[in-house]
Amino acid sequence: MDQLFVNYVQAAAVIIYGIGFFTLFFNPNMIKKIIGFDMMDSGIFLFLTAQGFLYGGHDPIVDPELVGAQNYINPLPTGLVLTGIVVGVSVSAFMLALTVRLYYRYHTLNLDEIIRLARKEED
Amino acid sequence: MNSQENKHKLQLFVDWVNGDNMPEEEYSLGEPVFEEEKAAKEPGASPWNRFHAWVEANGRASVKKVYPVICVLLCLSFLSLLLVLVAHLPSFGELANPGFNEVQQVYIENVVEDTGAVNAVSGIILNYRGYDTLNEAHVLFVAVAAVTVLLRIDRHKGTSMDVVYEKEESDQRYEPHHDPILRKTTKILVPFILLFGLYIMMNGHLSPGGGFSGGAIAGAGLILFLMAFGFKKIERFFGEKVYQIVRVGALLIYTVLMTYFILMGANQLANGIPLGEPGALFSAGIILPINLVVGLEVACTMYGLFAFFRKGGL
Repeated sequence: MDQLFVNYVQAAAVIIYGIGFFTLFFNPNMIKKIIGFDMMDSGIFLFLTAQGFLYGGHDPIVDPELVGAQNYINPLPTGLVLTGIVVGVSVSAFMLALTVRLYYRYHTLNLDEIIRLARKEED
Repeated sequence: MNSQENKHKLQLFVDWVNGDNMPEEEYSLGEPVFEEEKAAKEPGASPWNRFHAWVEANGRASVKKVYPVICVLLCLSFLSLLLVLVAHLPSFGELANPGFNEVQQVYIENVVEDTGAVNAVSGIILNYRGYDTLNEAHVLFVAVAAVTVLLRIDRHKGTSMDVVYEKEESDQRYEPHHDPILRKTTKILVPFILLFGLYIMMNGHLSPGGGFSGGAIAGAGLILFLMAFGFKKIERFFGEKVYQIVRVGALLIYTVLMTYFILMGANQLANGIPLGEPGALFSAGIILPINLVVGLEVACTMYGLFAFFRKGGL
């Protein structure tokens, strides 16, 4: 259990992920679902960057006087997270656009209500 | 005789593919029997049927009652599982972590020599893993295209979002009011914001930053200008035509550069691109032009997304 406080950044990332997951499941509002999805994104990014951190390590801008890989943090998770952020932005923009279209069709953001109206339309 | 039979079968198959003239006597399965009719014929015959009838009668209400409980339980168990996993991870920020293996060592020790970039993250994402980042830029491009398809309002050509324009709550009818404080501040701030965005783009191989963050800053500057002065003013220098040219042109230049770079064998072989002196502004081979191009692409994407959500067009 002590390890949980040593890994406090990862624990925070997991908790953020859990809050996002809960919002995605629990909230019927489409916009809040998308916010939950973005929170899940952020949790994963925080977790990945935390894996690359090193106490006493410099940022990965190579200094010719500071030789040796053990002096720098791991640059690879940072690069991966950059890719992830861009894809996350694209996906949430697409989801929001779909939500706008749904709102103009059904005049509500409640997913249960939208499903009910869509079923009624089908009959 | 045999060939005639085959021909008949072939004809049947062609008809079946075409979906018409389906010969009933060959494919009929008899009268269809539905689950509900079965249940109605023998009510309460088996526990399963009774359960089925009960769900039909008051299923949705009970699901609505049970769903939050299940949801909370599921999420809490999932979260506690993840926390237990975190408690078993290796210690945070220690050199003994499995992440600090020869991959990180190779990247840190060779990045200046291979790519010419002092910033190892830039070197990795734009040179070692350049193909990955190229497709990332394409993802951005496709996202804007999808948003355009969904939200575009064009009253002259007639799209499915035209109904929105007629409504009172449409944003397209509301241009910003004359707000002297906002306008004065914007006039002073926007040149500096755009300049700072350009600085971050061009210094991507020397300091933290690069095309993506610099482009986001420049896009924020454009959005601020748009908020303060409205679409009519911004069309003088950043209309739809300029937007499309910059967006498509930037991605095209990026693709051509990266294709050349990959085909010439990336960073190990002679590809005619000078690496320059590490630490200087004009160095690092293809990283500087790619950072600039990516910055333009991202700025256009940010501005385009905002404009489409706000007004349904540029």
